[in-house]
Amino acid sequence: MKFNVFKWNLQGLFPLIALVIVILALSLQLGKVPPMGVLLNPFLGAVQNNGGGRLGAGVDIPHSGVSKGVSVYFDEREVPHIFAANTADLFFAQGYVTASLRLWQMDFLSYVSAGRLAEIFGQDYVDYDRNQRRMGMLSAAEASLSLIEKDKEAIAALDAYTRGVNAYVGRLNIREYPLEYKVLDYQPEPWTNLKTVLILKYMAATLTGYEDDLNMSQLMLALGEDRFNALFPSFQKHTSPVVGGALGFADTTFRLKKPAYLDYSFLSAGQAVQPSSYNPSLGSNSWAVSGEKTESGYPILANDPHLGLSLPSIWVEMQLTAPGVNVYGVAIPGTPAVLIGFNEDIAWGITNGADDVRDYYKLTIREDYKQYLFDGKWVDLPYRIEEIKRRGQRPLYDTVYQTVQGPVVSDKRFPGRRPELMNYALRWQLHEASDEFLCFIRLNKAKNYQDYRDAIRYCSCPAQNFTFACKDNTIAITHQGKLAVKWPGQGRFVLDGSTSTHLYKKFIPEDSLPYLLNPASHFVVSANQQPTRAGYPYYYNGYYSETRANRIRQLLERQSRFTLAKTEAMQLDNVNSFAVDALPLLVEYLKASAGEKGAGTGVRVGGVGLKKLIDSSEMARSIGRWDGSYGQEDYNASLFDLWWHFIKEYAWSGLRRFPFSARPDDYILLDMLRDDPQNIRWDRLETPEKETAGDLVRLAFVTAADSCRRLADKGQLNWGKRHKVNLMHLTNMPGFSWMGQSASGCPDAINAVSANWGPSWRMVVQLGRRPVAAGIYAGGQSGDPGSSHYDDFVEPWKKGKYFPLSFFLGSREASEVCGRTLSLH
Amino acid sequence: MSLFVKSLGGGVLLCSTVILLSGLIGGMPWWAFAPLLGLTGVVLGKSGWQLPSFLAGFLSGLLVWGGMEGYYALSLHDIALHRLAAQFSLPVWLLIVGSGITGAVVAGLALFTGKMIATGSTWNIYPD
Repeated sequence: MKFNVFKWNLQGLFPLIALVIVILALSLQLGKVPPMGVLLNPFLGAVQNNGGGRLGAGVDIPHSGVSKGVSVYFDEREVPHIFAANTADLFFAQGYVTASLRLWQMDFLSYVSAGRLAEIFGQDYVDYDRNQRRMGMLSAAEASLSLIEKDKEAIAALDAYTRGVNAYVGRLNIREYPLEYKVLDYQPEPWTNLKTVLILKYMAATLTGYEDDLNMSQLMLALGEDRFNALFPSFQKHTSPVVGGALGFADTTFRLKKPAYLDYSFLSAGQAVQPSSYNPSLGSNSWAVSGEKTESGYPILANDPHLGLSLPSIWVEMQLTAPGVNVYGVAIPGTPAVLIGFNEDIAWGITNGADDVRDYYKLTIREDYKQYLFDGKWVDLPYRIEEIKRRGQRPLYDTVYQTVQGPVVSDKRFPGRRPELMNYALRWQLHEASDEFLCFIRLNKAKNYQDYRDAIRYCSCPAQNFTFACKDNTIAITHQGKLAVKWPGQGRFVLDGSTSTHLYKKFIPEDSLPYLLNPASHFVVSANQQPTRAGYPYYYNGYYSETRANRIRQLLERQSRFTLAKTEAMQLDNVNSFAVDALPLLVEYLKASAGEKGAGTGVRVGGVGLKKLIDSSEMARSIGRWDGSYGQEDYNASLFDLWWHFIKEYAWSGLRRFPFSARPDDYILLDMLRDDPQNIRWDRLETPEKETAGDLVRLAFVTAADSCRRLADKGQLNWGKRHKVNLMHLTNMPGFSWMGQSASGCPDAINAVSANWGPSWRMVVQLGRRPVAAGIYAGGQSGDPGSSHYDDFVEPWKKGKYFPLSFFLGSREASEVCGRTLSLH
Repeated sequence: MSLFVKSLGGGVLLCSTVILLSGLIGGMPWWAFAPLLGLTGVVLGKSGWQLPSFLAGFLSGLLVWGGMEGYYALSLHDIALHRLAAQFSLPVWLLIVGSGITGAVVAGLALFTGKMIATGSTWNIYPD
């Protein structure tokens, strides 16, 4: 056979072209279909992401980038315990280890924060990115980074963390890429300090992104001063403020005047207001009990932050040890230090301050957007060009105008999500450069109350309540943040952007911020409730909810000799204390129908007289005996939920003619039902009879009972059937999510589990010679969907289980207990 | 007929080795075995080895990719493929078969391309 090297054939060209096309098609994302060649190949693809088979072996990494050796011990839950010889190596190792667990998540969150999703997903996300840039997320992160670069301690930590992440990314080969990169067809990029800051800003945005200034402005104009203050008061009656005063303080006499500038020439009448995509109920619970009220004589601290429930969880557990610091808790992937946790001397917890730090200023802008009116003069309107990269296309350039107040989010060329706020400037505390990292770095090392106060000074946005406990039996709580000094009502309504008098000039001084230190009650509580009583010298407003704080206070007052177990039981408490407060009145109205002549007897539902329905209803008897607990198996919870829903529907039906979504607080309605039952507002115009509060309550009950009967027929009545939790993957891919599971709890209970947010982390700590702690979060240490540690905490979390937290005082302890070691040299 | 089987069998063995080794070595993109198989096809063509090149490549790809996918899924206690299957509402075995077919198509085309470049003709059966 002759081997003729030089004879080639053109017929080979066609199959060659076909081969190239096939390989290309299998390497690229086509529409929604991921690259099959990448994903399905056995050597580099999805099957290689199965982490289960590879654990158990120790790993040694020479030339990793640390200056001295670092040992990382992983316990059976994959929690890393990092032992370093200096803080630079500590943060380096934290970056390295966090990247090995959650690389895709931290990378992706930095894209989400910066408005770079079009780079990954293409044209569909350009509007999202534009909105993020216009809200000032990227520029805020850049400004903060410039400030942080001037602070030696913080920048050293960030630099080390970034180097650690990059040391891990540098060693990654394609086979080991997290599964999402393979499915979405992109690669991890090098980590930077800016990405770290972006993640912190992302958290701040999550917690302070809510405002309803336009809603409130429209309501003030529509209802008038008296009704507005009655329905939307600045201070609640049924409250347990963070920093209380003597009971009986005349809080409710505080009234807001309608601002003089706010009228229908300032605002167009009745503009439809889009409901906010932010969740105002994102909050948390935290309390600390001093040794006077605990079994051990040492303080106990509890914290369960409520955030959106996602997979991977926003939290990752770890222990960080180096000379001068030994701290355990949860961190946010992408940022150094531990955010919530404890060390050998203290424990701390965080809840959202829920203050309004976000305002819209109405501007007068020239048609051509070159100038705007300010203090009677036309001044130049500066702008910033945002480059929005798009996958597979040339970048889009967006012009974002900025006034002295802040960026103009919605303008003529891009009305965006909130077109009713066109040509308004956004003033957001988040935009101001700040160095929250120092707060956490210092808290991790804090040994006493003074260290704690010194550390939290650096927390400016979001404003948070920091609970504190120390083993010397100190407990404290501080409402900390950069809060502007406001005139009464300033910031609750939209503001006038054409005058410098509406700008904030000062902030509440550090030592005037509300705080408590070793109160006589021997406990401190925060659950996003009102921070103070009306006597506080500075005006502020926010999105507070009182029910959980009321319940926590009740339980802490009633009991003593607290233990970790009792504290855990409190965190899992499913009682809605509003329901407990409301039931006596509502049931009284139900029973009243039995004797009252003419009261509501004319109302008929489904052909059966109202009176007869209630008398014979097992449900009425049952709800009268109910304890207010929203357990999965409870059907009274469903009944009450529907009953109160209909009561609100009927009561606030008058507000339906306004296109605003705000409704008064539940307690406002309850008080009105109790104190003013004959008021004309309860009368339903469709019927000839004159209804009272009692009639409304009864009618709502019948409607709810009817719905419940139908649900019961389908076996869908139990609360668990109506209350389901979803933990969605960050991309909402159902295959990587955990969906549709029945759960106990409700937003108003301490166990504030809801459809997609809730107690993302539950922690209880008892201080002492050696801290003892238990905790759990909804997720798993690994962010890779192929790992068995991706979601192994979720079922236990749902069932209310807690894991004991292994806090090692030295590396020898750690090495004895832990099965797997990673050594960085 | 036996010559056909021997010829095909030998070809599949050779190609499977190429695909397997290039996959295990690592540090190369997923399609690295394609040019290697193309080269194999050229050599086979030039050396006059008669075999159905597309079929040989197809079978090798199917065996190696499908087989290794299944092997890794079992030995690593698969979770990832189960999640992907749930995501696309497909059974897991279909993903493994899909893996096999993907590898098979690329391998078959690659070997065929090589052979065509080398000889310009499709396979002829030796008359028995």
